[in-house]
Amino acid sequence: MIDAEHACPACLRRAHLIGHLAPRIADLLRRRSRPVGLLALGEEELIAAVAGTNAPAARSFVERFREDHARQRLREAEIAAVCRHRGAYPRSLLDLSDPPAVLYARGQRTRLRTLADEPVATVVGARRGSPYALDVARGLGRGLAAASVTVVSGLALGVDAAAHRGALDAGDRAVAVLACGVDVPYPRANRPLYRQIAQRGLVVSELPPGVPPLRWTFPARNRIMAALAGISVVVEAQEGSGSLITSTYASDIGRQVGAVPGRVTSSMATGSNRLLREGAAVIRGVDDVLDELFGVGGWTPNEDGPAIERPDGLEPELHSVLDAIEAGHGTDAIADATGMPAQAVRASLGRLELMGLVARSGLASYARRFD
Amino acid sequence: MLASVATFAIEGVDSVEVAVEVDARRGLPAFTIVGLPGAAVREARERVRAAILNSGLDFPLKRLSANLAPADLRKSGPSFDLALAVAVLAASGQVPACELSSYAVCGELSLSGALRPVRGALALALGARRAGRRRLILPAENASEAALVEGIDVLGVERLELIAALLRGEWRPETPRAGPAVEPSHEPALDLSEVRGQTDAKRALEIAAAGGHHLLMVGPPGVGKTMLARRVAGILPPPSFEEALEITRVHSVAGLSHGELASERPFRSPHHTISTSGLVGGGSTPRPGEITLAHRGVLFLDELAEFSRGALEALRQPLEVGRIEVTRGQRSLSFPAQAMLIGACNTCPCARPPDDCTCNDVDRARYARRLSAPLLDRIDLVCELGRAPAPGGRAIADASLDVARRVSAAREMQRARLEGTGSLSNAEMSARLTQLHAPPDAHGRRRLDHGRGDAALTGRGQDRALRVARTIADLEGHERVEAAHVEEAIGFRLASIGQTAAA
Repeated sequence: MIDAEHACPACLRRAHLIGHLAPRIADLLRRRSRPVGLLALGEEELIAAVAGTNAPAARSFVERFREDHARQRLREAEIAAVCRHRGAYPRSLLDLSDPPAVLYARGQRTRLRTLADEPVATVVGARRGSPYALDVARGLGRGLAAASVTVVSGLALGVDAAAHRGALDAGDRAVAVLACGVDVPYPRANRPLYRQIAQRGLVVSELPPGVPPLRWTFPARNRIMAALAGISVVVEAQEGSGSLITSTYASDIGRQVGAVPGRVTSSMATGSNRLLREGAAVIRGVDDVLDELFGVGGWTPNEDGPAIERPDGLEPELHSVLDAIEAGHGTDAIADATGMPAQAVRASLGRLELMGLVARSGLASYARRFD
Repeated sequence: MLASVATFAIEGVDSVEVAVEVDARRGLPAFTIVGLPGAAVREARERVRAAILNSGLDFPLKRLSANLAPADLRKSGPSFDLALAVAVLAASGQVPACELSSYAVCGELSLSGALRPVRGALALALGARRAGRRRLILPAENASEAALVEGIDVLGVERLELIAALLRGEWRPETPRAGPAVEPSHEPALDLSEVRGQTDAKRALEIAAAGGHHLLMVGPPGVGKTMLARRVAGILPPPSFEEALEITRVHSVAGLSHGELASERPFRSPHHTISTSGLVGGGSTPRPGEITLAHRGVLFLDELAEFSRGALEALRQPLEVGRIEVTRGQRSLSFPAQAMLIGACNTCPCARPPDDCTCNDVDRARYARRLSAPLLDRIDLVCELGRAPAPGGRAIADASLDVARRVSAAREMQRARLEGTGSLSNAEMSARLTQLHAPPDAHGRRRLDHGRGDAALTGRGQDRALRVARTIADLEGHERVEAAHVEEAIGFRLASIGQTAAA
């Protein structure tokens, strides 16, 4: 069991010091958004660099820091802490020039090990994604998780949340990296999603519990997402989007960068399209990500069967309606695809809804339901 | 000398008796009206004086005091003119006062002495009969409408001097012809077969028409939502005599009637900028709103999400109970509002087909939130319209006449089943009636009880689904509600919105 004991006292103290100084760092970085180099500094240098007039207070925080109390609080909150000197720490993070001192984690902690050993892909994108981007992100999340690839994202609205949902559709391989303490469900709107990931997947952060999200913590979080994964896929991003910071970090430390093509006439995909122009891998679907991760043809399908399970003994009629819904058809198109009369389609939809296999998506159309 | 004449004032869609008393005394010539008269009633003095003089009668040079009783009811509108004139004539001895007690008199006067039509003739006649008056004098143009009420002698008169002759027993008008003026045409002007494809929406429209259920059509613009809604009139059965009376009464009070019995169900389609009181009724003198004008017919709200939140929320009560209570000042009025709601809205605010949509998920969620869950909960059928198919191909769609035949057969089954309960269609059934008349068979019961997740039905949800299932069974001529009917009803129902797969 990985728990609060997996961080050495010095690392734990430094991580808590960063948490303590987080508001000061925010003041210092008001103009420059990226905490370049700061997080690599030792305690004394860090205090000298950011604390300013508060330096005595920060020093006394270091002196009065009670390691046993900190561990006790972590244990009570069921939060694990691993530092880079322990085996459970994901090795991939050490490629960063400023790796997190400690990684706090909540959820299925055994997943920390798989983060270190198994293939990981990061899927990020715009908070306000187009329906197309959300569809693609969810599909990527689902397909990657089904192929036993752990899906990392940032729990933001839009594309991030869609990628998480996709991963949860097909299993538990969902990892959220937060820009605040792991016990802070931010943003509020994603609270139910946070709970699901904390229960079935894994929520991690380098910030100690209770630290609120600040401007600088988002790019700092993005460097962790970039380092954890073999490839970072940007689904849809405007110029200036935070997800482009993730892709920059990824290429800085030699990770693959991929982007999903967007409409060239749309302003919503200018950033991700520029990545493609600059040589990012073109991601048309799950297979393209798998090819980048494992080399072309390097991935062999899991023989465990399809990740999207269907109940046994489903009538053939319901099967074909379910197929049509998964293909994204509307009700009339389902009738065309299956050759069933409109009323039989509605009755099948009613049956499937009662069985919990489909649900209304928005006002009109039906969508497949996974949970 | 004192004279009293009975007249009736419109109150909501009913009428209440008002006694017009005129007292003529010696004194300085004057004409005063008391008893909470509105502006139009105070002006009646000039119309009455001129009309009497221009009719070749005498306007008494006396001190005239008129009282409108009950004095605490605010009187508005010009329909008191005629009663005031007749009372003045009786008070001055030009018509026999003793004859007047069996009459009720309503009408507006022009200066020439001609009678002008009034609003709400049917409601006036019903009120007069209830008050025990045997004869009702009305402007000739209102007579045929008022004559729909049995048990009261309606006398349609064109000029004031003829009333004097009538009361003196020297003249009698022709008995007005009652009943439907024109045979309703059996050829609907707009036909369902003109709308290509959209089989799902057509099916939903047929079920909605057959059971009087509320319907919401969702789809991109230009695929036929409005076309379909406008064709619902062609598949609804013509109103029964009682329903036609209710429709005529409401429309007559609102000044929309042409003096004849309504032969068609109303179809109202107010613009989305309508105010709350315009939609559900209101105003300082409460007037019926669009939902009441659509009574026994269809209220079509295009661009449902664009209506003001307040107006839509106010629809909740009438959609549920078929009546709307309007309270203004010290008065509270109840208007009938048994209308079938047909709503139409787009899937997203940019209103483009799905492939060209530029909305992000925040925009879409905001758009869907404009329709509150309690409102959507009252809409039993939510159907989806896809892109219109290319011309040609596809089998010929059902014509309106075929659909109308099925709908009217289903309505006939409901009418026979619900005889004597006060409900006319499945949508109007109470929870008790639903349990009594729409019990599902064992398979259907199991479907209802074993919904999973969001599809799990509450007691109220079960009732609503059963009412629609009952209609679907009626359309197929089945006495018993079967599993397939329940499933289709649930397929059309919008389960808890927000808890959807994409949320």
